[in-house]
Amino acid sequence: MFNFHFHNSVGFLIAFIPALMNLGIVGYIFWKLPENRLTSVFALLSLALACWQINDSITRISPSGQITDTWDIIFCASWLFVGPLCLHFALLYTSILKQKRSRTTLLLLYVPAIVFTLLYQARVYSHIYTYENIWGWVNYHDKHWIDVLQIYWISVLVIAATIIIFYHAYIIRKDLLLIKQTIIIATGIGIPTVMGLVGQVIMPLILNKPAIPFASTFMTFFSLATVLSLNKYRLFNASDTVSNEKLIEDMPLMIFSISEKRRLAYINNYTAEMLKINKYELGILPLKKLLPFASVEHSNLFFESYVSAMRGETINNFESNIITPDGEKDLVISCKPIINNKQVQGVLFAARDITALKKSNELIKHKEMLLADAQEIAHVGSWEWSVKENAVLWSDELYRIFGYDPGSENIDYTRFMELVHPEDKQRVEGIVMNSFTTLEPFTYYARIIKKDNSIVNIHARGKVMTNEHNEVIKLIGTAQDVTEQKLKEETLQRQNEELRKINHELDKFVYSVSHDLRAPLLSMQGVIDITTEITREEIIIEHMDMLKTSITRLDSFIEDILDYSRNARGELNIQPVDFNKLLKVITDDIKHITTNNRMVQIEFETLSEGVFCTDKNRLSVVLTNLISNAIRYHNRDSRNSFVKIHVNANEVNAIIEVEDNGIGINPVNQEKIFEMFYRVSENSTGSGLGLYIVKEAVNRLKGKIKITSTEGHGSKFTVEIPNLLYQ
Amino acid sequence: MFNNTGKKIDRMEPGEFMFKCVMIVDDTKIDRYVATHVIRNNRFSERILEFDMATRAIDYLEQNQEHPEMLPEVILLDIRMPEMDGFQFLERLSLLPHSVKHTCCIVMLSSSLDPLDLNRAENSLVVKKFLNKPLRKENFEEIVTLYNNLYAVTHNEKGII
Repeated sequence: MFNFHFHNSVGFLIAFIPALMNLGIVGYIFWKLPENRLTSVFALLSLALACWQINDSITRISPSGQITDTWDIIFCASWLFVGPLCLHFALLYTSILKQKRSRTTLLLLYVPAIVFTLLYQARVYSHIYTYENIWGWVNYHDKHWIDVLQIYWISVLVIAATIIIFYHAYIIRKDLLLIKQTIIIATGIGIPTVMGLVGQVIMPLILNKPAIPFASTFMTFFSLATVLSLNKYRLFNASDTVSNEKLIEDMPLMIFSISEKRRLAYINNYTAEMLKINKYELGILPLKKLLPFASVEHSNLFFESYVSAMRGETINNFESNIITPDGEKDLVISCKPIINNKQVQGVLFAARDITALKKSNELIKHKEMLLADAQEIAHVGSWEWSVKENAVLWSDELYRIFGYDPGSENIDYTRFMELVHPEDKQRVEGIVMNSFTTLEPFTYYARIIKKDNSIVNIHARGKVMTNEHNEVIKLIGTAQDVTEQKLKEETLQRQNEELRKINHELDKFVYSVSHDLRAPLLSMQGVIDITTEITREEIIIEHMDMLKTSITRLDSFIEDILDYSRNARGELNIQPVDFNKLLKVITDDIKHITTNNRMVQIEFETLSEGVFCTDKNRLSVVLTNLISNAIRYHNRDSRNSFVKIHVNANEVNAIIEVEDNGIGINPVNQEKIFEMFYRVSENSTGSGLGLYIVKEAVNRLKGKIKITSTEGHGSKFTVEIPNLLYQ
Repeated sequence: MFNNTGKKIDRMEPGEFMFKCVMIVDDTKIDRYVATHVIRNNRFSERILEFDMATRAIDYLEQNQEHPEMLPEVILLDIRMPEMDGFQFLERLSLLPHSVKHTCCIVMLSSSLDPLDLNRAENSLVVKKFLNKPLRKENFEEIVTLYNNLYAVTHNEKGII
């Protein structure tokens, strides 16, 4: 059957090895690549090539022309179909054919191939074979017109395919990835085309020489080009691999069509899933059940669009709601007529689910409304100034604060500055401009002249927004209507001022009165002093002493009243206190004033840690009163009366103890001693104000006072006052 | 510009006066009387210049600014007086030459308890002491010390300020 020689085995191999390669490619495409029209045509083309090369390899080792003719009859379809398949592939690859399935094109491509195959197999014209050393049995064309026509037909097809692909390469020359792929494929098809033309068209038909059958071998370039493209340049990548139908089925978009008889003709997977309907029920169930609209209006709108589309119109983006098993969905629907042979056969719908989008839109709207309401309630407006564009965006409330209707005027920075009160303008401008250099937030108060020429006080706060190069891109901020607060503040300030004045006058009055009360007293005291000095008469000395006691009592009462008024009204004057020094001054003063002090020993001890701050004058009043009380109420029967003062001060507080061994206080009376004008006994020489003032003063110092006392044995006052260093 | 009446006092012989001349400025007659009495009785000063009005006291000082022997060594000055009070008196005094204002030991003598008065007295450069009325003989010990201090300053080794 086969006749192997060394000389024809080369011809055999150069056809057979590419044949095996092509078969491999067919298998690869068949099993590995997704199925679509382009890959199918490509697989068929590779298969045809493989068959043609097998045909060639067999004829080269055939023992006779007879047997060669038989093989040719069997395999002729392969090389006759290469032309149309090539062109078909080129048309699909360049997307010329992708748009619509054209039966005419298919017919034009493949009917001649079938006809030529049948004519060849029917031996309408004779097949003559001559034997050549390398190529084995070669068909010698007898130039029958059918044979010639067939050869030219194949040539035209492959040349067209080559030109189409090259032209496509020219068009997509800017797509760096695709251009390589396309050029490789174009070259892969171009080389065998040229060689085939030379060897099997020009040689036999024009030069009248025997044909050289190496076209199939050169087809190896095409195989190589394809393999290269497959591996390196993503031939049949994602866009090619996903078939159109699969794309539509899986797209997250409701795509469905309704026939002219108002039946759902087609739904994609997404629609089926959303509406939870079985694709096979489409024809059975009525349309209204399949598409349950939320309301009659929605349903009417949908069918109006359907009717319009049936008339040939395209309707874009109308909204409709349907009730799915998962709840109500907001859809945006577009539809267009399906036209076949100039006849509207139905309507194709595409609907997008915008439920989530709508919900978030509503949320945003709701929040915006809340913000606007909040601004209105709080009289706070907000603004945004895009510096480069000098565009200022104002919130509605800001317009209202300025006395304008929301959005009634386009207010930029210059216009805003015109509205600022002339006296505030320069200051405001300075603050805003300063923020451009410091990039710090700013705040200011300013008066604004409203539309009706009245004045509104605003408190503005702003913040600078910069880009990554620290350039100011915009300023954002708020402005609050503080007119009311400002008025209140001013009233308060005025009242404060009045109060301060009254206080001051009252102070002056109190000191004047006390002075005028004391002056005659002290004059009397002076006279008593000199009288006592110059007399020797006991009775006069005694009377003078009595007078002096009364004067002292009245004088200390006046001092008490002074202390009281000072404590009640004055503000705290906080300063560091040196307890040791203070006690020394106080005890020295007391020694000076009290007459019978010689019998009472005054001792004090202070422990101080750090700086202690409080109101020195009030503390002094407290200590003076406590110590002089202890002296005043000392035990006249005791030989060694004493007052012991112990101070322990630290950064938190000071604990002051004033302890005596005087007459003490009956527990029954201990609670009352801090009351105003309370005096323990008729013999008390005090005014009844002293301890009341002490208590009030301690209160003002935010402290506490307590007493422990045993009648007949003595009293101990404990004062605890906080350190006011950090207040 | 040497004050002839200025001298350092360290002891007092019987019959000798502590000061040559003391001025009392007070609108209250009784207070002047008490002060005069205390000064006389204790032989504090040989001469006592009594003024019921600060204006008159200033006039006296102005008229006698060229006669050091006529100027007082100590001025006892009340604060609250009609027409010109003690502080206004001090202001007028500050306009007088050094020899007058810095050789007189000025002591405020008042019955005021107003801390403002006390503060002003303490802050004044010329007031050496704030005393509460009435004037007592015990006060003079301190006045003598103060006067001596002043004397030491004005009559330092160079003699003259």
